Amino acid sequence: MENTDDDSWHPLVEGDESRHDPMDRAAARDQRRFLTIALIGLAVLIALPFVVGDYYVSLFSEILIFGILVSGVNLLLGYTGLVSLGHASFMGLGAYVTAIAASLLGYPVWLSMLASILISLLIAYGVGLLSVRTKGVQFLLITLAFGQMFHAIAEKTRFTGGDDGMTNIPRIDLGFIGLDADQDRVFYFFVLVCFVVAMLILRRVVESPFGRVLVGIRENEKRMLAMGYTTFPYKALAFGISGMLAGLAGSLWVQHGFFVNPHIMTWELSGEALLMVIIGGSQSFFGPVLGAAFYVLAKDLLSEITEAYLMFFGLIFVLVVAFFQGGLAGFASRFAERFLNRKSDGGEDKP
Amino acid sequence: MTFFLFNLLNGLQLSMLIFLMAIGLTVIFGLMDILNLAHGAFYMAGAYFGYVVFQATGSFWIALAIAPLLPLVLGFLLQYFVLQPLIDRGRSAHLDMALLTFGLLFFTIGLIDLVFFETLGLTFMSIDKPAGLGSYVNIGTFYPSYRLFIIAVGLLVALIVWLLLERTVVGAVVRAGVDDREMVRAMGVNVYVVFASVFALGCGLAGLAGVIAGAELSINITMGVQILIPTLVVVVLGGLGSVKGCFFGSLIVGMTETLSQAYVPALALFATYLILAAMLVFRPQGFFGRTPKSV
Amino acid sequence: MSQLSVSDISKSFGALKVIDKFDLDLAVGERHAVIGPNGAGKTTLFNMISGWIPPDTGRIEVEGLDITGRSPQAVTQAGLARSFQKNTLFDGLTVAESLRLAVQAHSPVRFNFLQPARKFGGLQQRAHEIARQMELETVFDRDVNTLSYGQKRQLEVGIALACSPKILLLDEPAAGTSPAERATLVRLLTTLPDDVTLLLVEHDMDVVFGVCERITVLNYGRVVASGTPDEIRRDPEVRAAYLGESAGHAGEAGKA
Repeated sequence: MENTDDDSWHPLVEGDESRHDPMDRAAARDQRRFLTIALIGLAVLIALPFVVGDYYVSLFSEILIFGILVSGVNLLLGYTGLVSLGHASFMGLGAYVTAIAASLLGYPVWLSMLASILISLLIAYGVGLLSVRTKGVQFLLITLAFGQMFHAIAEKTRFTGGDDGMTNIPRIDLGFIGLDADQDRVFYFFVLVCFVVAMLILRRVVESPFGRVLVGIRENEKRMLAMGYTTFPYKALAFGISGMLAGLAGSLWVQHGFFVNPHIMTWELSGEALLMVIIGGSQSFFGPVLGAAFYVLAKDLLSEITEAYLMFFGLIFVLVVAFFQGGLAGFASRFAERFLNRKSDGGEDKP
Repeated sequence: MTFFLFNLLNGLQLSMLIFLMAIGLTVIFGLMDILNLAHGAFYMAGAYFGYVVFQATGSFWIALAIAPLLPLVLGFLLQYFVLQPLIDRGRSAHLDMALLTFGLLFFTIGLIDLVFFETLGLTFMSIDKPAGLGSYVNIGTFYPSYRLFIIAVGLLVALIVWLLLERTVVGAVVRAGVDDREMVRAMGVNVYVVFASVFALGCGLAGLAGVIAGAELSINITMGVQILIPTLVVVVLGGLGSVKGCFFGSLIVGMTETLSQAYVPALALFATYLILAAMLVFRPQGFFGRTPKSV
Repeated sequence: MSQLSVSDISKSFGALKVIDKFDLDLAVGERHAVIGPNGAGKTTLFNMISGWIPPDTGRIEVEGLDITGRSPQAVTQAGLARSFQKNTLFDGLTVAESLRLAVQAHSPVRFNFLQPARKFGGLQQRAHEIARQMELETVFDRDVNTLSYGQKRQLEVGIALACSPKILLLDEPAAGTSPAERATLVRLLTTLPDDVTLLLVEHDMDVVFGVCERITVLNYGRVVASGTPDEIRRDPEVRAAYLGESAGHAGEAGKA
């Protein structure tokens, strides 16, 4: 594969940012918008633990972890147009690798996390190679099948406690900067750092030439083939990156709760991830994170009233799919546009 | 040998239950391009309503006759008043339909949880087997007669569906629609009514499966998802839209699940998925699926 | 050496012989049209040359490189780009984004996944050049689904052209267009770069005679005539094929 850091040797690729003429206004506007939202969001996330109580700090760690997962899912769903029902298994994979390496084998947690990321990337890429040969409904089903297989393996494996899972998983050791991650506030900031890094990488990916190819595949794969793209490796790598983010989320998840069991790998969680993406807005970069926040907070609120919170999410989900494809992000952007009284040029920043 | 026969019949019984689910799903997909993930919800609707009717009347047979009507009617309403209008508004992308019905499944599970568990405090329920089908018969081994009943119902439905599709005018329209949707539109039939009716029948069969399962397995909140997954596997194995494929796919899945549990329990959880994964890698269109018409 | 050389290709679907021993040689820069009545096998021929359908027999070469039976993407990478009879566009993208994707397909940065695409200004410039060439400059930043039908047809050609092909295959570029739109298309096609070889399938004779210097007539999968526009206009067999199928032709097809 011909990715290269040296882009100066080809006539088509030389040139600096100032040279892209009257044309790339859309990209520049998109970038401004990204930076604005990212900086405001980051400021809020940094300020948060100083304002809210312990319980909510922990809840927001959860939101950020799910945010990483669902942003990865959206690389497939929103950008490439592939619906995966198996991403919980990559989250579980990341969780188990960290648990096994840190708890059973005694490696430091940071190393275990790296292992989680790497292994989930490789395995997701492998699964991707097999499953992106299909598309649409078949793709949905094959990812479901792989997910169920991983779930079954987790249930059957003795040394990880089978159905009961593992407990007492350590959190990352931040002693070298004099902090203790066992405090939820400290751990929150660690999760936030991981989240920011993950989102920056993802942002790079979606605005790269590779990312544009993914969007082209979503819009019209036949034409992409006719243009000369071999679409298969693009989709497989997108699947790999997406699984890698899920693995990172899993690695953080197991530290967050100090335990892991096969329940994390069920397809219900994969389904809930889709729920978050769609409710938040699959057509925008930060939409899924918004969806994760909505999901976690609303679930927390609803669970005080009823255990049957799925009913409400199911209903919201149906309404969003049927009538508001932009999701929460679409609403927010339309609102902001009206509020700022800008010239209307389409609302959502489409990927 | 008797152990083998016992397992073979168990496998057949499970196959037939799955077939009742899968046949509706596959015909609906073939005809309307809707992967109805809410099919599990209609199965649950049949089972829970069956339980209610059974509690009210004390008769399994009345429950069996009445309960499938609820998913039947709901299915018709869903297709005619919700899905079809959305498709007409340009939401034909079948992934949207899969997502939407997936949301409905979540909704139904939540709703049933709210009504039966949180309000009425019921968790695991069942319908009593009818008199005469509650015991064992000797067929070389002592085998529960109710399971034989399930097998019989499955085969009967398979036969009826086959006759309906192959020997009636409506069947011809549906078959033509599976092959070429545009053609049915061009034939001037009121396609929307045909679509909704087929959708409703599929849901009704799912409900029938629910009632039947309600007397053999337990009625609980996870039952819809539990049956939906093997059903989806069947639909993919058989090829989306293929009735013949659906029947053989059901046999493969039902038998694999049962026999692997009996003979190689270590593999039981994956056997089906292994078959599915291998199949999708080597023959993505299914055993009996139509190959994609064009590129 | 000829730019595109198609020798002796045939294709049957079941008992039906759609293309029967077809030969074609295009010199660099040649403008060539394939015409024929509906069902003559033009689309099948196109799909075989562009890699969507493998031929049963025969050989297809681009500048001496054998591309027979290669995938569409490999054929395009070998320098042969095509457009589609039915618009096959990116409805959710802008004209700029669509053209950029086509340019990028033939740039070494296409798999780069860690640098922002906007850094590669060359892609954007080339896309803009193509837009100017195809008279789509004014709608450069518009969404494709907001274009008029004629503009979509222009984009259909533009995307193929943006692949920097040696050979351009256009599948009925004027299909469904109004006379005004057709005139624009003819004007655009006649101003294509000289070194681009053009192979055109088209129903509309104004377009064919306005753009092409050589014409091959296909009927029932066989070449019935080949020559300059004037020769073709005079050819009695061609007139027969277009005015109504004579018994002789039907019989030939039956035998084939």
